[in-house]
Amino acid sequence: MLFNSHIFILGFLPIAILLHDLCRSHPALRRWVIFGLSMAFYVYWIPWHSVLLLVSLLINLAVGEWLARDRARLPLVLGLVFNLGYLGVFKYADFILENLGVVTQVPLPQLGWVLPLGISFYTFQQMSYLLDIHSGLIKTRRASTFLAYIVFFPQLIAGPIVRYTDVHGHLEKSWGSEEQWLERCRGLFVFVVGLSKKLFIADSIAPYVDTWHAALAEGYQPALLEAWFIVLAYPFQLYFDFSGYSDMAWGLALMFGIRISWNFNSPFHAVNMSDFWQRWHISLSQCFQRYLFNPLAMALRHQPSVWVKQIFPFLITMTLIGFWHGAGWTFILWGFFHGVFLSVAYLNKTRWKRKLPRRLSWAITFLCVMLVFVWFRSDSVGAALELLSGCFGGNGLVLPRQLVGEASGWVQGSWYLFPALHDHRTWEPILACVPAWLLAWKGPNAMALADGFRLSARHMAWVSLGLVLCLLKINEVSVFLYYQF
Amino acid sequence: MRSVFSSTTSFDGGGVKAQRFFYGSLGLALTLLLVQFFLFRIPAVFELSLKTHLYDHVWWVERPASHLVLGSSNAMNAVIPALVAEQVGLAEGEVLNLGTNGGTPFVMHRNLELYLQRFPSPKTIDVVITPVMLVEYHHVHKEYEKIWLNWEQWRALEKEGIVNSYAFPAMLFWQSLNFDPMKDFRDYHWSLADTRRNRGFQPIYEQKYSFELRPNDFPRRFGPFGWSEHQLDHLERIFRRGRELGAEVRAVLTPIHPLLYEVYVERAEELKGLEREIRRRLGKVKRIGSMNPGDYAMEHQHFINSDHVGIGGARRFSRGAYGIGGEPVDFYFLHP
Repeated sequence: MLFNSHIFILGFLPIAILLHDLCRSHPALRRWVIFGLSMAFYVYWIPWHSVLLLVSLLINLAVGEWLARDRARLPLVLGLVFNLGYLGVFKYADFILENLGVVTQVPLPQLGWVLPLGISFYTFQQMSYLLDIHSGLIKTRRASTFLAYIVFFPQLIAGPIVRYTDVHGHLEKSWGSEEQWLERCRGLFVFVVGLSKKLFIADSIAPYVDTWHAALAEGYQPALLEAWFIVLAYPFQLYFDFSGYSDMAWGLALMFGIRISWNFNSPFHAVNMSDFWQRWHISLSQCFQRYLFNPLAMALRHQPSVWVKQIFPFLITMTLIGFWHGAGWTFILWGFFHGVFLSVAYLNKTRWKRKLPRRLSWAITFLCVMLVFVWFRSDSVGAALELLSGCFGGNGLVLPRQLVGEASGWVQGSWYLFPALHDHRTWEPILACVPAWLLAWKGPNAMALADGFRLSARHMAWVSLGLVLCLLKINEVSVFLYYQF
Repeated sequence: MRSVFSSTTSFDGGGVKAQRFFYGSLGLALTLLLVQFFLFRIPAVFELSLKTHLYDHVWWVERPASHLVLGSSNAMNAVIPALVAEQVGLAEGEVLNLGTNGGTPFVMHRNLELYLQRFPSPKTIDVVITPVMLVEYHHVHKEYEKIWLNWEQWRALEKEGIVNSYAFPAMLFWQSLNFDPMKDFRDYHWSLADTRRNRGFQPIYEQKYSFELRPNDFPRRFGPFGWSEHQLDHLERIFRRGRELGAEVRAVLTPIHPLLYEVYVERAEELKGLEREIRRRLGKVKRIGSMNPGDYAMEHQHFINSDHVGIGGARRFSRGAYGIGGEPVDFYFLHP
């Protein structure tokens, strides 16, 4: 079930609130209701995936209990191996088999399994649960709290990745205080903000980005102007799509009395790469930092070479963040390049110590982030290289070389700044992208809007009208980009 | 702005005020949704949208014709006015194709009336009829048929991404206000001048399309919906109006892809009730054309998808179907 669907907003959500409120004075019952509602939410998509989810939950629950009794390495290792294996089989097996086939020159069969929805997110949450028990951070546990925490529907499919210690307190008390009612109103407000970001901004850019990348996948060679427009369109579509989803998740969680972390904080304001990763997909970068980068850097801290003790952890962590997003070389390269940029930023901070003017630093960071996103979105390494070549004038300045001289014949009556979008007028993609750029750079983010929320008539009108306009705008099934991860 | 919740503009208010805000916001939203749902089902309000180009496909016509073709995209892509004129012995330009994307009897009727407001009555009116245009499925969301959907029907519309037009007709009204007929023509890369020159026919070149079809691509052709009384009523009114004007009103069938035709033949029983209803409403009619692609020696390459012919298919159809006259017969889609 999608947050941006009629069935969710008009059907599931009111029923969920009603059932939750009916048992708000009974914390244990409340947790089981949250678990039941979340499973219903998950089953609606592909029912058999819920069996996989249940198996994973039960095994992690059992391993967690074992770990809590005996904080030895064995249960932890077994638990991590199970989770990584589970993720590996469903998400990476085909990629590994395909590349093994290429290396060994022996064609290997593909499993072709459908990726269970939210697998990367709930598996990582369960791994963080086991690691936190092992490190002694989790003192008290309840099966119902664990189950509700993992499958809690606002963050089950695409995060944010939440730690048990952050939410178990909210799950283990009753609901209904004055403060919680106020928070629910704030949550509703942020939910509408997120929904608007997805429907009115991200979905407006999506058709153009999809058409461009479909053309690139078929060998289209964009000229300089069009190439830069493609490069500058996608990150903003992704930002408004995923941050819209994350805002909705934050708002929904708050409506059920659970405060989860923010996932975005105006990432395109970042003045260096480290700053960017403290603003973009915050829960993921914190998770990797906590459970991979920090232990790795600690283990290597006595190594004499800076390449080993600092650069290596950056490269490994970021490459794995890329691989976490998807089983493909484009994701791996996206992560690797971020690792390279983070290493450069680190070296500049610790060794070269060159201070750049703030605006120049921002511009360089922005440019790097935009260009590296080409790898994230491209269907293949070849398509990414073609687009990057276009950005540096490799395919002509205004019109792709392959179309010079014949464009007017097939792009009828239209100014052909974007030949790949010949079904659209030139101003249409510009009109879709300009609001996104302005809002991302100059507009308040959801955190600021949530802070400014008041129980006023103005905010009530915003919520009501926003909700109505969003419901009118929901037209076709538009899946969140991060659902594929 | 001053708070409507008496004393507070901050979170130190109380649960009661927050409850008022929460339920008040949702209640207001729900009220607005219900108001628009019922408001646009009032005929006088809906009919405001009839003044837009969304329901007017006659606006581009510059001169009258003695032979008018009404229909959906099946008509627009299959009937070549110049060839039909040649076949029936009329001067070039005397045949006009008013087929429209998504055209239904409701839209055809509307366009016939708009045409008659501007030009004298034609001598012949051809009405291209397809089973699909007479199913509720294709209209509940756009022409406000006043039916309540069951869960299965709601899901069917949701899967197609059109449920919002049913539930939120304000949106459809907004779309009709924003409808740009020039852009509509541009869907097929044909300009207004081309459309006028071709007298409404919009050729589609088969080589631009590559598609594959399998019989099981059509498991539920008509979805969980019945035949549309609303559309059948307008179909009847088109024939009645034409006959009152003294025109010869004929039913036209256009060919469909061979695989789809096989499916129709296999499931011919499902069409019997509809055929009976059309016969009851229209009486005997002259019938032009056929859904059978074999009648025009058409194969896969003559189609651009399951239902629509390309330019080659349109040439075969316009020459083959219109060269044959006939007496009024009982209406049927496939076989008598």
